[in-house]
Amino acid sequence: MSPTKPKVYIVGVGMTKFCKPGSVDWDYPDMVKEAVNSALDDCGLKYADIQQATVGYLFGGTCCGQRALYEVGLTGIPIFNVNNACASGSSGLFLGKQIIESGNADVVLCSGFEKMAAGSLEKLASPIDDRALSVDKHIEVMSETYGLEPAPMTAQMFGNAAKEHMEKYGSKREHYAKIAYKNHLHSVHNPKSQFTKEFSLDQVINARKIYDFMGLLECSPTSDGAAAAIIVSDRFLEKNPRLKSQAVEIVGLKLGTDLPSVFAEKSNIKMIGFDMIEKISKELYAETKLTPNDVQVIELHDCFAPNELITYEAIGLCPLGKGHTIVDRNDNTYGGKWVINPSGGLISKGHPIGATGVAQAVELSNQLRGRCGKRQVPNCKVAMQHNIGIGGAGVVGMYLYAVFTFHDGRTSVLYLRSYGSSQSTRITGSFCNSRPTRLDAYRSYPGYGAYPYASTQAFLEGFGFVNYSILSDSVSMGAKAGVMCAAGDCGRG
Amino acid sequence: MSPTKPKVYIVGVGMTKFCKPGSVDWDYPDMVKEAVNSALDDCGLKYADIQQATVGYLFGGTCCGQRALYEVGLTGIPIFNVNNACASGSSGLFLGKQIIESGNADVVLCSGFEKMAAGSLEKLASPIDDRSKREHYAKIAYKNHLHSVHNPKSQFTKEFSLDQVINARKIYDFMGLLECSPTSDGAAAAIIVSDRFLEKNPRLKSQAVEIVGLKLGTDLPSVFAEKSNIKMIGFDMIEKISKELYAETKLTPNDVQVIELHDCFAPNELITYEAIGLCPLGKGHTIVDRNDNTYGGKWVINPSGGLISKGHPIGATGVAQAVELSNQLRGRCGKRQVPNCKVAMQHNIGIGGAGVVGMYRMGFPQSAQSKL
Repeated sequence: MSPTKPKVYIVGVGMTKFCKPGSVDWDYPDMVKEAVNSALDDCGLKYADIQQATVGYLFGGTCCGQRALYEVGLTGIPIFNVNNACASGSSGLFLGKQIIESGNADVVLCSGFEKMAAGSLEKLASPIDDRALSVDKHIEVMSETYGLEPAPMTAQMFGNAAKEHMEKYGSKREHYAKIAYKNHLHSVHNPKSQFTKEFSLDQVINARKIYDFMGLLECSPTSDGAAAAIIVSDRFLEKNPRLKSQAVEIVGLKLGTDLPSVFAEKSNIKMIGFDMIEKISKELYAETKLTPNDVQVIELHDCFAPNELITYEAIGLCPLGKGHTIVDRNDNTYGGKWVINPSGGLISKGHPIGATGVAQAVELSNQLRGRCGKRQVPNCKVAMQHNIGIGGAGVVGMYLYAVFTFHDGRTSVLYLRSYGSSQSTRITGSFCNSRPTRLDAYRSYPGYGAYPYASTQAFLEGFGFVNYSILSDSVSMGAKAGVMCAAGDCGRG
Repeated sequence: MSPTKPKVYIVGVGMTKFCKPGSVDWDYPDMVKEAVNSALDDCGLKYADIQQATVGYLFGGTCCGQRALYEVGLTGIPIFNVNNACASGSSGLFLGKQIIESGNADVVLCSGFEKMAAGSLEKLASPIDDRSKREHYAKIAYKNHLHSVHNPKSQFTKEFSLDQVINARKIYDFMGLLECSPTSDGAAAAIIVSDRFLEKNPRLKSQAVEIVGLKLGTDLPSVFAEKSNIKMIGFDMIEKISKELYAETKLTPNDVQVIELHDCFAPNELITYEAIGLCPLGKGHTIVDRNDNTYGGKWVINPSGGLISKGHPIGATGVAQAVELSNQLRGRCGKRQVPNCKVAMQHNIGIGGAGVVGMYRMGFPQSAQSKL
């Protein structure tokens, strides 16, 4: 990797409330305008500052991105319409990050929307029947295992994966209901969520059946809505340091597509993308040097409750076949090891397809910045995203901070790509008056309730640079250009 | 711009013959597979060498890119489905170039396809003012049909007389069938790489075409504000990004010998002459009068036959333009070869919309075999 590749940060986020299709008298340009303006307000930028944009959506013909953004401004910038099934939103984020890394832009808008039809996906997704369907080989796996039923196709895919898991690994029907129960409960405190009602476990188990054991409350709804994130380069942040305190670093973001096992193994678990997610998660952990043990909050793609349980294994929260043990231990909610889908997930918050991946990033940014009120995850330092689409594509991402507090009280927040960096920052203070400079390292923005995992301090004064290094379990500072007071006029060194 | 930004080269190209929708018993994955394998053969790479891919298309639902490429290989790489109306193919190229510049990949596949339905075309503005004449548009169409006679990949390869063009069945106002691009099936692919990749694979240098510059723009306020059909079809957008392209590459139309430009309808070609600065505003027809748009003139414009004759499978078109220009620069175009061509220009546009302009030349002319 080139040493000069820019780092990428999310500095502004916004989203509409997600809602039942047709329940609000609006069109998709209205949705996008609301989300984009909200994100711009969040960071105090103007549409004219945006240099390129991605817009994720599935339904609506070509150039809907332009049609929507033109209502915010007509500035002639490159606009890309992105679709990758349900991973469209995060594919746009991934693309936006690459655009910034190319050096061709410092400020990119990543947005997504969907205007759907009430009812199941089939109402909108009716294929042109003279050509190959993007999921025809996926459907083949189903027809050769459990057979095809007159139920919504995606419900069958994930329902079958659960059946296979129950047969192979012994999970029970209740495990899936508990996941749905949890996500509905989480959404009670999310004003942007489509549903905000708590259901009892019995209500979830006995809800109207959609496919096999799976009931209505274990399925994400169809939704209208939009979300937006504004991402910038470190170069931009240096020129606009006021945004540093709200900048969330995209430590790593991986996008993958299907591997041969999707079709070759006659397994519904593989067919829904298990190996693809497992592979890119491992790559993400290797690249960022962060693991699930460093993570406190996760937004993951619970299009149907079975996908959440199976994803626990695919992203390595537990060994293969043990996803249900996380449910048993309540390690997926407040008080447990991770809080998974604090927003309510797709199941309760909603799933306007093109917006979903961006909305996950909105929630995670807000969690790291401590803005989530009653659903705030305490002590959250590192956040992880998982977004997937059958067809398909999968995206996983990690979001990392260190703070200098100088002897005169000024702070400088640093953003790190990974551990082990050793760089220099400018010290411009003069006499320290025997007050130390502290360096604290956090695995998320040091906001609500966060505490550093490692700290150090030294007496610094003068004008110059300091080397520092942030490791996974320690931090250190070293002098450069004579700013560290060695013996010390005050004798403290 | 960072001094370490990689340069980007096209090293392999391929396309299917474009054809009337439904005339061949094939589906879009077949089209894409043919184009991609052709491009891979051209440069001797394997699908496993591709690190990211873009697929441009309009019709077919989400993830058709994956559905098509999975038949070539299942390697888990990032794949992006790109649509920007008729500029989808070149938007994919633009995206691919940014991916290489990001340093995240050294080898990217940029492809596009369309499987259409035979039938009616979209109406487009026909801006005749009192200076250009109906015959100017017919002459452009006549030229493009003539150029395509020597293009085996072209949907049509028949020469028509100027009278036949003028008197063809009217589609809208004065504009006849032969001045409109058809609906088409087909696919095209280009494999682009970084300079770092070329250093490790120097055998490809002799066929590497440098993407000197590529600009993508979207609509400006004048599109809607000025009540002008010429502005509505994107004049100002194209003018702006062309000027940016010339400034960035330090190349101008005077340096260019061959141009593939978006003649979805003959009027767009004439108006584009002005938008990309081949002549002053309002003087596009003078280029037609001087024959400065064909062999023997200052530029050869649409040697492939253009969209009008070669065909317009929407998602493939922008990539197919790059295929033609690469082949022209590499001297592989047989009877339609533009002589002494050193610098090539691309123009692709979609209403909705987006516009792309690009400049190409051989990356390593000293090592290029001379076939001219």
